[in-house]
Amino acid sequence: MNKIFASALSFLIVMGMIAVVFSALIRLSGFELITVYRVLLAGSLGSFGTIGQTLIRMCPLLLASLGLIIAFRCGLWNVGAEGQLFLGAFGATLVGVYVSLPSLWHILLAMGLSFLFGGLWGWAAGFLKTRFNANEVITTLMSNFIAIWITYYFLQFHLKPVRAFNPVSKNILPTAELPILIKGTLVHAGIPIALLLAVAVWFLIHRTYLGYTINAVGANSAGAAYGGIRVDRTVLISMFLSGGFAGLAGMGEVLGVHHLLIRGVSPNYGFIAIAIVLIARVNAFGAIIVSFFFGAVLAGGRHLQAMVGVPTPLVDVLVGLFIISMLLQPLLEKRLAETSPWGKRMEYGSL
Amino acid sequence: MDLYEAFMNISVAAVSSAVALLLPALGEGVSERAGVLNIGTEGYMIIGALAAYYGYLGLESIWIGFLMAGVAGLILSWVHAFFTITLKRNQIVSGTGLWLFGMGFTAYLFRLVGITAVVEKLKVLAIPGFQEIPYFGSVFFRQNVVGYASFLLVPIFAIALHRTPWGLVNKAAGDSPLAADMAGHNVSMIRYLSIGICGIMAGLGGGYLAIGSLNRFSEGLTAGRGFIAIAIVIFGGWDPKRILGGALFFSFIDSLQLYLQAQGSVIPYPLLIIMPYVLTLMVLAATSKRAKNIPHKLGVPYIRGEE
Amino acid sequence: MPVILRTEGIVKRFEKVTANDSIDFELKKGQIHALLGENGSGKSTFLNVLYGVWSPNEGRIFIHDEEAEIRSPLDAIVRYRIGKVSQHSDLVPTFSVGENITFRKVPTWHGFLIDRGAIRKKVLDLLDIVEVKLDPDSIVETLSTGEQQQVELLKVLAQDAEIILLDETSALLAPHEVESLFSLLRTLSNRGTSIVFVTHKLYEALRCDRITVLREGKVTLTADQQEVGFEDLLGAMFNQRSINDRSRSSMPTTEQEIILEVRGICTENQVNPRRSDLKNVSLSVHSGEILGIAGIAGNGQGILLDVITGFCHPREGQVLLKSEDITRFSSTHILRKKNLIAYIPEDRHKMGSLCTLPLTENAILGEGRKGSFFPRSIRHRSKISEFTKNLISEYEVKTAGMNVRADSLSGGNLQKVILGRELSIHADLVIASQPSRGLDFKTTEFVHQKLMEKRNQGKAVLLVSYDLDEIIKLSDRIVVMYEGALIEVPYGETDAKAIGRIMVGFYENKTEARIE
Repeated sequence: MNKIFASALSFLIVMGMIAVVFSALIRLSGFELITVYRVLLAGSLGSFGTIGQTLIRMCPLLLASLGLIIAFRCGLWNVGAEGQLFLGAFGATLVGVYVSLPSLWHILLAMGLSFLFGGLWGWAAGFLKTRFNANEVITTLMSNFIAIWITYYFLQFHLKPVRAFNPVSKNILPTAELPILIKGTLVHAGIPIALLLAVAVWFLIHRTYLGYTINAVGANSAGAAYGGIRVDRTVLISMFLSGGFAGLAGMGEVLGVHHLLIRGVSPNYGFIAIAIVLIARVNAFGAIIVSFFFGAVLAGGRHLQAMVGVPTPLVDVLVGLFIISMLLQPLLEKRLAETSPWGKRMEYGSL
Repeated sequence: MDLYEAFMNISVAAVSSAVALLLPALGEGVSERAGVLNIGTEGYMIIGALAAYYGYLGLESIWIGFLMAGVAGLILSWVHAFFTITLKRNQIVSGTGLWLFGMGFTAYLFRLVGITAVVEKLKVLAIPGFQEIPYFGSVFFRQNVVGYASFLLVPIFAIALHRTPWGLVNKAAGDSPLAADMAGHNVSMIRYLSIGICGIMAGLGGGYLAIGSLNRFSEGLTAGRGFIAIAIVIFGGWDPKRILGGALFFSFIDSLQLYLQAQGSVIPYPLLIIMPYVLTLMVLAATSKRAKNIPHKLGVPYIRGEE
Repeated sequence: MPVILRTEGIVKRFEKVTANDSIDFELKKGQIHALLGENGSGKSTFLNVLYGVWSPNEGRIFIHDEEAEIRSPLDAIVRYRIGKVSQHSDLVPTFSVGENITFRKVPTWHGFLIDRGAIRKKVLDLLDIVEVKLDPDSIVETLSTGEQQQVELLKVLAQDAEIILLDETSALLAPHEVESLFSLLRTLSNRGTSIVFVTHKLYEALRCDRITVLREGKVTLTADQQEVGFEDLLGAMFNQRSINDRSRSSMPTTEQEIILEVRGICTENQVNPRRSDLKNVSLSVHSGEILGIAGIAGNGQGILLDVITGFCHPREGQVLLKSEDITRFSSTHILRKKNLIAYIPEDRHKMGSLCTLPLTENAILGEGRKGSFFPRSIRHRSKISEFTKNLISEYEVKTAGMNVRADSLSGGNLQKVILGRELSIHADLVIASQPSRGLDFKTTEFVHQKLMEKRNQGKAVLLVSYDLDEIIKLSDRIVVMYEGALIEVPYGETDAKAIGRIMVGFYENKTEARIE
C-alpha cells in the first residue's frame, strides 16, 4: 500500500474510532445521537451568527497552533503556549488601555507588544535549554503557572479599577478594538490576520532559509551542526517566535472578543493547540482547517448543556480523545503501509 | 490577630493541605525515577477524586471510596503506560491527552449524574501527648487518618527506593535501562509498576481532596495540583524526604497567599505563588548542568538495540 | 590443561558478507588466548557468536567437550558461565561499584531489604582475589575508564564466569591502566578462569599465552606465544600484497600549496589520559594530493578529525587552513566555510544527513550554500530541484524520487548523496572519513573515482580509512596513526604488510620498549 493511501486510510480509521467512542459515550449517557450532532452543527455552522462564534474561537486556536508549529518543527516540545498567551494578552491590554493612538497604529503597537511579551517568555525557556540543558517540557510547563500568576497579579493589583471587586481590567480604548468585519456578528479583524499569518508561517517554514534551519535542527541537531547551522541560535529564535504567536492569540482575545482582560481569557487554548498541530501534521494550512474544526466543536458545544442537557465538558473529552488518537495514527499508518491492498503482510525480502 | 496566631493558622492549613500534594508527588517521583514522565497526573487525581466521591456515596464506606480512587487512578495511568511503554509513543503527548480527557470526562460525568450531596469527611484525630508540643503539636498532630498515613508513607517510600532491590532496579530503569535489561531485569514491567504506583497515589490524592479534606467533589477540584506535584518532584530532587519538604513548602506558600487574600492585604500574593515555581526552575537549571539527580533517561522510551 | 571451549567450523554470514569463515578455535582452562586481527577481520563477530548474540550459520561449539547451543547472552552466562566485557559500558552510572557488581542478584536481608554488608563483603572478596584497589561505595560515573572496566570484569566474575570474553577493551585505556588490566587478567587465569582477549595490537597479543590471528573472517595462524615472532604475526594479519592499479598523481605534490597544516597537536589530559590522545601530531596536505591516514580504529583518527573540524580544541598545537589559524574556531564556524572544507563524516546517519527529511533538504545541507540556494533567504525551488536531480543522476543514486525521506535510501545510496553534496562545492580541502564503509564493490569504485577526480582537479584530500587497501590504492602519501602518534610511511611504499606493521605498533623510532 503506498504511503499516501496508508496515511489517508489510517486517518479515516482513527477518526472513525473517535466517532465511535464519542457516540458510545453519548448513547450510554442516555442522549440521542442525532440531537447532539444537530446541536453541535447548529451551534457552529447553523447561521451566520454561529459561524461567527466558530471563527472567533478558531482565531486564537490558529494563532497558538502557528506558534507550536514552529516549535515542534524545531524539535521543541513547547507546552507553555497557554502561559505565553496570557502574557500576550497582558501586553495587548497595556497598550489597549493606557496608550492613545490612532486606530491602525494602536492595534499594531498592541500586536507588537503582545508578540514581544509572549516571545520573550518562550525565549526564556529556550535560553534555559541552550544554556543549562534544561528539559523544555518541564520548563515551559512550569512557566505556564508563572505567566498566568504574573498576569493575575497585574490584573488584581494594577489593572482593575480600584472600586471593582472582580479582577477585570478597564476597557480598552475604542481605537484598540479590532473592528468587526461583518455587522451583527462577532467576527473581528483578528481572524483574517490569523489567516494571513498562517500563510506567512507556511512561507517561513517552507520557503525561507530560517525555515530550513528550523526543520534541520528538528530533524537532527547533530547533522544540522555538522552542516554549519547554529543550533542554539535556531532554538532561541524558534522559541521566541513560538511564544510570540501564542502571545498574539492572547491579543486577539483581548482586542477582538472581550475588549478587556479577564482571568478566564483562555479555556486551555494553548493545550488544545497541541492537539491541532499534531492532527494537522505540523503544517500551517492543515492547522487552518483543523483549528476551524475545533473552533466549531467549541462553539457548537457551548449550547449543549443548555439545549440538550449534555454537559459541556464533553468537548474536553473530545479534545483528549483526539490527542490520544494522534498517538496511535502513525503506528496504524506504518502497519497499513506494510500490507498489500488485500491485507496480507508483505515480507521484507520482496520489496 | 497577632503574628504568631496567624502563623499557626497558616501552618495548620498548610500541613493538612500538603497531603493532597504529597501523595501525587511521591507517586510521580517513583515513576520519574524509572524514567517516565506523567503529565497526566492531574487527570489521575481528578478521576480518583470522582471515583472516591461516588464510591463513598454509593457504598457508604469512606474506605471503599479511597479504594475506588486508587483503582481509578491506576487504570488511567496504565493507559498512559500502554501508550508509552508498550507502544513506545511520546510521553508528553500521551500525558496531555489523558489529562484533558480526564478533566473533561470527570466534569461530564459529574454534571450528568448531577449528584452533589455533601458527604461526611474524615474526622480529625488528635494524637494525645504529641498534640501538646508547641507549634509542631497542633500543626502536625491534628490530621485525619489518611493524613497521618500519608506522612508515614514518606519513610516507607524512602526505604523502598533506597534500601530495597526493587528501588535499585527502579532507579536503573531511569538511569540506564540498557544496563538493567542486560542484567536480566524486565524494564517494561518495572516501568508499568512505577506508573501504576503513580496512578494509585495520585488517585488517592484526588480522593483525599474530595472526601478527606473537603466534603464533596467539584469541577476543577484538583486545581493544578497534579502539575504542582511534578514541580515538587524536581524541587525535591526525586527523593521522598525532600519531596515532603517541597510539598510542605508549596503548601505553606499557598496557605499564606490565601490568608493574605482573605485579609485584603496589600502584599501581592500572586508573586508569592510563583516563588516555588521559580525556585523549581532554578533547581532544574542547576540540576541539569551538573546532571546530579535527574534520571538520565527521563522521557525516553527504551527500545532494545537502539543504544 | 583441559580444553574448556572449542569451536569447529563456525561460519557467520550477514547479507552478502561472510564475517566468520569456518573458524576453529580452542581455549584451554586458565589460558589467556589472544584473538588478533585488524578492523573487519571478524573478531567481534566471533565473540558475539560465543556470547549468544548471534547464532552461527554453520559450525559447532563445544564447552567442556559437550556440544553447546548458546541462544542468548543470558543463556551464555547462566548455562555456560561465559561472560563478556564489551567496549560500551553495561554499568549503571549512578550506582556504586558494589551495586553494579551485584545487580543481577542483589543480596537481601530477610528477602526484602538490601543487605549492604553482604554487597560490600562480596566486592571486597572479589577485590582481594584480583588484588585490585577500589572503593565498593564509589559511584561508577566518577571512576576513570580503566576503573570502570575493572568493575565490569568484577561484575562478570561475580556471576561466576568461567570464561571471560574481552572485546577490544584495552583500546580506551591509559598505558598504566593496561598494565593493571594485564596483571588482573594474569591473576584470574592463574585461578583457573579462561580468557579470550581481542586486540589489534601486536604487543598486547604477545603478552597472552596463545594467539589466533584472523584475517577477513578466516583463521590464518594459531600458535603459542613462545612459538611466534612479529613477522609471523604480521604476515598472518596482512597479505603481502602490493596494489598496482593506482593512478598516481604525476605532480610531485610536496611542491604544491599547503592547504591544511596541522602542527604539534596534543590533546592529552592529565586527569583521564588515554592512549588514543594525540601526541604531537603534525601533518600537511597539499593541493593536488590525497593524504591517507591509515590505522586501526581507536588510535586517535577520530580525535584528529574533531580537532581539525573544530569539534574539540587541543591543549597545544595549531591547525592552519590556507594559512589561517582555525585552531580555536568552533565547528559551526569552520564548517560554514563551505567554500573551503568539504567533510564526508564517518557516521552517515547521525552526522552526515538529516534522515527524516527529504533528499532535497539533505542535498543542500551546508550553511555555506545559503547564498546559492536561498538567495536573500528565500528558497529558490527550481535551482534546488535541478541541483538535486543532477546530483542523483551524476552520482547514480537509486531512489524513488527527489522528495523521499533520506532514511529510505540504502546506506550506499545515502553515502552517494553525501558525497555528491560535499564534492559539488569547490572546496579546496576534502576530508573523507570511512567513505566506502559498508558499500558494495561498484559503489566503492565510484567513490574512489570521485575522490581521485577531486585530486586531479588540484584539490587537497585528507582520507581516513580503516581499510588499508583503500588507503594504499588512493593515497599519494600515507601516514599511520597509532596510539595517538602519527608515523610517516616511506614515500612509495605500497606493501600492505609493511604498513600494517606500523599499524600494529611495530616500527622503529619508538621510544618505549613495548616488546618484552
